[in-house]
Amino acid sequence: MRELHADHFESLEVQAHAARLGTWIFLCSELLLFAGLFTLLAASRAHDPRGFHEGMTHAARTLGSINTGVLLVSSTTAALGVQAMRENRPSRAFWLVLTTATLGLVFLAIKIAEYAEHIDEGILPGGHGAWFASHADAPLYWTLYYLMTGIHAIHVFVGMGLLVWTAVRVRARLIVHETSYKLDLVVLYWHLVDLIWIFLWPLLYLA
Amino acid sequence: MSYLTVDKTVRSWLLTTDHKRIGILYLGAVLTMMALGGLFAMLIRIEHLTPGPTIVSAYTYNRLFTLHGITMVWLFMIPSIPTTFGNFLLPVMIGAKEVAFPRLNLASFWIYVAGALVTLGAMLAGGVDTGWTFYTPYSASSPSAVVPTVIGIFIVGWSTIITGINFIVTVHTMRARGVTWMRMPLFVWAIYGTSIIQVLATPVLGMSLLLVGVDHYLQWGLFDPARGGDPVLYQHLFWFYSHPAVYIMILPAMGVISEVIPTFAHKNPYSYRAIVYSTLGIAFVGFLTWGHHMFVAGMSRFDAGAFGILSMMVAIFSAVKVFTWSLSFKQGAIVLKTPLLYAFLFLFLFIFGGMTGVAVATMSLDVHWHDTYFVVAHFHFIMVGGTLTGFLAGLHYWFPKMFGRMYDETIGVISVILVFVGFVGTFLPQFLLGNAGMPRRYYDYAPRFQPLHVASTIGALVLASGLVLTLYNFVRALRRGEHAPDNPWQSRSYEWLTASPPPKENFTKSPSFSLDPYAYDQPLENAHA
Amino acid sequence: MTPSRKIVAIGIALVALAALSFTLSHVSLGVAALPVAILIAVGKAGLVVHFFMELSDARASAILAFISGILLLAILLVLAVADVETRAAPPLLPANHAHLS
Repeated sequence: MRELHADHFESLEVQAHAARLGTWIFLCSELLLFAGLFTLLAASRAHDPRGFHEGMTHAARTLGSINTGVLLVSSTTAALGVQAMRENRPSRAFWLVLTTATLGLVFLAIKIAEYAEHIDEGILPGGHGAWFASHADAPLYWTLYYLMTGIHAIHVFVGMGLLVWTAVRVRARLIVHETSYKLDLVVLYWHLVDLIWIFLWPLLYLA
Repeated sequence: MSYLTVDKTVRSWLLTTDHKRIGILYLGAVLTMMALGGLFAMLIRIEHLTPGPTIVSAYTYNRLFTLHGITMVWLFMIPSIPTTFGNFLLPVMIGAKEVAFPRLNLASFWIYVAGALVTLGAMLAGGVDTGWTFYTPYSASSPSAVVPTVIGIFIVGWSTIITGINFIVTVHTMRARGVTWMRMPLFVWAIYGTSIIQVLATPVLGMSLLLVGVDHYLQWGLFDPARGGDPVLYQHLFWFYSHPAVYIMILPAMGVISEVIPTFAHKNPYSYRAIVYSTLGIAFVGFLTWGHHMFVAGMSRFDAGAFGILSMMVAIFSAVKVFTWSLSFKQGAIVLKTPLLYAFLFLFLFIFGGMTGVAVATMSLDVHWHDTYFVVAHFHFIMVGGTLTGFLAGLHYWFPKMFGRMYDETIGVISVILVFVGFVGTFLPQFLLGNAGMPRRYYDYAPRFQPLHVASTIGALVLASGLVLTLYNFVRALRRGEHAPDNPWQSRSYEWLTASPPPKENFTKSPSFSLDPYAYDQPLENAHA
Repeated sequence: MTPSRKIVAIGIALVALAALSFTLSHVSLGVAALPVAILIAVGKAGLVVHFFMELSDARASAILAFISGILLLAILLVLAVADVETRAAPPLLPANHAHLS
């Protein structure tokens, strides 16, 4: 049988541990990438609470909230996929991971619809656009809205790509029951993307 | 058969996943960057020989000091020690065959090269005149090539993060038998602490530079007060990375010193644990001090006070290190060789730079010195005096390990003297200039400052000659240096318990270490892999 | 409960919490709105981290890594926002300046 672990690792167990730890550290790095944005958001809001309130009341709360639901369900299907792999049911895992990726696509579609609606109203980042001539909203709220949801959307996109790639590898038996940790890594990343949204959503749409 | 001779094709070097070869590739790259940054520095110093225009225009001058800063900080000092000695030695020092993710390691090198090329390309496309700090709102409206430059640095940041993750995971998962946490060589601890900072701080820099790029390119006004943005917030984000970045530069150098001193004093460090805990202490407290760059930037008095106090805490950990190193010489059998001379130089410059650091962290004094040559001299003492001397100490110390040849000791000693005289000659006048009121980054200056500027330029020339001599010494050694024995310094540290240069697998069989790496009270025969 | 059922139960709990937050956003909570929304978010994040990402089953090193990430995020956020919150109004705004001269 083909060796399941790379030559420089003592065993598959050590290799899996290394990969998991590496992923967790990478997730921390991602967290700090967003830390700068959350800081900007919090400080700008502290600076101009009224303008932010105005902006938020106009945000697409319903669409944003539907997207929250989509992402939470996708996290659930991803976790189910991991569980299926652990139970050595690769076919079930394949479909669950693919479902997760599809939900990511739904999220992005809704996001684009949301952007289109705002752009139509003349709301553009940086206080550009006709909207700001007649409204008292803080341009900064909208700039940060586009910036943060946009960078989050890029992460969703990358995550989708990783999910599809992993699903294909599960299908092709390149990831098997013994090496199921490789699926865990991608799903961990997906959960982080969800985690970021769990905080972005109330801060940008709700309160 | 050593890692150097196992396969000699160019392809086998450029696509290698051997951490030792990647270390050598990085060495070539960072030395090139150092030469480039040094060239910019010399041009700046020559420009300052006379007040008013000397050799370049004001705009070119602004771009020169920016490029000097960017090249030296991100392309030389940040990667210098971790990517070269870290890559080469960290796995050897813990008895591993490889780093945890060899292919990622290679990717990290090429990402670094790509980022460096984009950054240097931006220099050709007009350069940047904002200073390496990219302060807003000017950086959003500067006519220079801000966007390609920040993209280049962003890419280099990826390389830094990947290397950091790789090292942390390697230390956690790849240690050989006998290498417990409290028996790792101190250099490994230093690289470990550095990697933590790299992984957690670099993304914040990446994001803030990206936002500067967006502000410049799309005019979003994120940091533009005219549109409700806050330029001081940019400074918060920037220094949240860029202050810990100083520790990314200095911690690895401290690691080198912690190896050199026991080896050449032939004695265990006075307290292994004190060095380990102060390394981790610096890594953490380094994150709490960024605000001392912003005392006069309009930050609130509350924050300024908090940051002033927190900044001084770093001095506690640094002092613990300095005292431990000094005490390590006690009852040692000291052998004065080039690496140890560089370690002395490090101690001197670090104490001097560190003490002036405590001085500028004092708010009332900072008001006087802020944005003057005093600050320039202070951070060059720490960053160049620390990182460069640590880097040079390491190069001399591990040169036989990396290449299996010995450099010439006499030339080595002469170059240490030149570097010392040149360095102090360059930056001591700058302390005086700053205290007398000469602002940093100014093209022109009052005639009364000229003697000190000329002195500084002469110092820089001496420093450059010392570095060129060092380079000559290494090139000479590569071509016709004596063949090095496996352990020329009689060290007990683990990397010396294998052949020099090491075989591709680092150790001929899976090692298991019986003694700790500083067991100088035991005969050398007892220390084996 | 089988592991899969447990996962589904957590998923339902997550969506329920989101629905609660959404409903509360239509009720005028005043100053309490933000803390309540963040509290619910923290609850959801806790569920994801604990049950989906299985952090508590991970090795100590991974837990430590995650805690460091959160800690540094908090440090950046708190010290930067503290600056904005405690900054005195500029003594010479252009308007005041005109008034003085």
